[in-house]
Amino acid sequence: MGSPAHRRPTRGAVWSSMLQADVLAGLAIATTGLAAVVVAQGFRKGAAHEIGPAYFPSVIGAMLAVLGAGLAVSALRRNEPLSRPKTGAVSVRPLLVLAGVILFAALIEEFGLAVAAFALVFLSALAGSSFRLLRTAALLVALVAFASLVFVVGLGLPIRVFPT
Amino acid sequence: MIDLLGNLGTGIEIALTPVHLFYCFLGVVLGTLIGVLPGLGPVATIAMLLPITFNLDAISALIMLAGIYYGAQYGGSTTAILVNLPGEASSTVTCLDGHALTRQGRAGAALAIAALASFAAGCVGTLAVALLGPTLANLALRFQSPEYFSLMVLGLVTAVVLARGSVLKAVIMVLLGLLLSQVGTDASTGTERFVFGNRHLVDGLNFAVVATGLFGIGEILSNLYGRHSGAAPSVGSIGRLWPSRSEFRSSIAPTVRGSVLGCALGLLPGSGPLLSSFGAYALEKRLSRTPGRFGHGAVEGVAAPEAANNAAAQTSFIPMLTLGIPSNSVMALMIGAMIIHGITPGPQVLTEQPDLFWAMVASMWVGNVLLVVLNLPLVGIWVRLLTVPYHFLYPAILLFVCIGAYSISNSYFDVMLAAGFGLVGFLLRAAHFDPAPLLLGLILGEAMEDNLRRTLIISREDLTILFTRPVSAGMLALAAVLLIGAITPGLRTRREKVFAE
Repeated sequence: MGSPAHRRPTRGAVWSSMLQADVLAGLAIATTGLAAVVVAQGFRKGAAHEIGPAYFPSVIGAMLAVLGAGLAVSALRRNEPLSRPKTGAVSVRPLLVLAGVILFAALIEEFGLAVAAFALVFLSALAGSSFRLLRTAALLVALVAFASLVFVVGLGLPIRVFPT
Repeated sequence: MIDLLGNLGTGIEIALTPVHLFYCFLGVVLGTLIGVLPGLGPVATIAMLLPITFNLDAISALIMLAGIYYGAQYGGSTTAILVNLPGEASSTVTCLDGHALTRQGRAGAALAIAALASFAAGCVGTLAVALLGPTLANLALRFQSPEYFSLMVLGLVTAVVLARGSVLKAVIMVLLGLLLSQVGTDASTGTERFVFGNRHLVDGLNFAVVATGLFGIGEILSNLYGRHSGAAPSVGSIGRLWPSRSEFRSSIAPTVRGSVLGCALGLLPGSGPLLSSFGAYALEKRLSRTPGRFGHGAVEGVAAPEAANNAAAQTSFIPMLTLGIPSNSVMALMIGAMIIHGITPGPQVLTEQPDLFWAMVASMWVGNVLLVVLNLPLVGIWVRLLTVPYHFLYPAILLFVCIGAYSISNSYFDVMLAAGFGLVGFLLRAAHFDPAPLLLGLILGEAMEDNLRRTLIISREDLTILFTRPVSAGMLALAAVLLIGAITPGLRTRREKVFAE
């Protein structure tokens, strides 16, 4: 969002965008596959007549390594910007959503739904482009009331609403 | 035939008990709701609502989940017609002529045609499930591990071929899913795999948690980075709700053709409803004597794809109910729901749980009736929902997603996992990977390894058994043909053209 959306990419930009998308993705996948193969070698070996626990993950990991490398190589060899990532160099602000979810997870057992929802709703509202305090507070109250009624009272899920 | 009617009768009786009727109703309403709301798909919703169904009996749970699925399909078409926004990918083509009709002030007619075509197709689809299900289940009862393994390979390959975007990337997604299925304790040897000393991972990754992350949280991230500016679309007047006599007459044949095409394509793993609606539209355009009208408000262009995607939505239950093989991510979640309720999906469901099978089939028809009866009068409410701004919507979705992920096994760690998979889903979309095949790989992984093991035990470690048993060899050959076809240049351009629109 930080850069104009429809600018014609220069050759340098093309290369860097490919670095961000297919090449990086391919390398990440190949690394994951290789790592899986390496880790799987530590699993217990199977008896002679059965396939052991390492067999299937090793085969899958090896295939991933090969295909991931293939994706990276073919992306490097292409000259046109086939997969320009939407992100580019943009703000990390929407990632506040993830922070909200993680805080929700950390708070829900100790402090109950109301506190966890407070963290989640405010952080995720901050992740958007237009944050307003009152609007978010009203949304929070409505959501906590609704969720408590449906999930805790109605469905009897074992979740506390308020901290004790 | 008598059997079929008797079974359907029993099914309808069960489906019409007040409790089941209520959950069917709840399902289609919720489904329509999420089909209408932007940025929330059926996969995320079902993953989110899965914990709710834990407290229900198996039949109610599955009836409700099924209702969500075809309700979402229906809601997606409503927004396609009214505001040119396909709520679901499969209603993308409906935008073309459906919205053109809206611009001519004939939105009511377009909605009615879509509803009636969907309903007709739903009837055909339900009959197809009732007819084909038992046949296929009988066949599948004779399958052994090699056949099951090859069938799963075929299923995954079809998902790859039908996924959007590059074939290579879809294969990578399937493999990644298979790899993720390996996390946890290996059932047959007791070895802990990829657990890294974390006690939360000993039982493996819950597919619903992965799905909520990839599809629920991941989509919100993509939306926040992308097009959702928060501005709600404006909706014009709907006009008279009934099509004229000639419009009605000219949509009958396209509905029939669309239903048949949809029934056939729905059986394929991958994105049956999506492919069938594109196929049905293309077919009508080719058959029409006045192809120029298409895109400018031809009722055939609404009836055919709507019939097709609804029929496909129904028949995509067949592989799930009879073979235990999901044909798309929603079916994969349904399998998860069945397992939670202690039912192992597969051909034995029909013999061991005939009530469940026939009640589900009948509830599809009941659900389709409910959709027509409820939704045409309620269209005004759905339209209002469209105007809910995204800045209210996504924090609410996030909260429900978090509660859903948490309550699957009351584990805060699952919520953290969902956050992690949310990031993964966002990155995958940014790099143009379609995450749907990943979920399919994750669901099938364990069964695939298990069947491969048994196969190798039967054959004393000889993999050629997969090619010497005729049924297994046939399925592998078909998988190979499909894969080669998808990679060959000529077919690839055609495939891209279909998805390009």
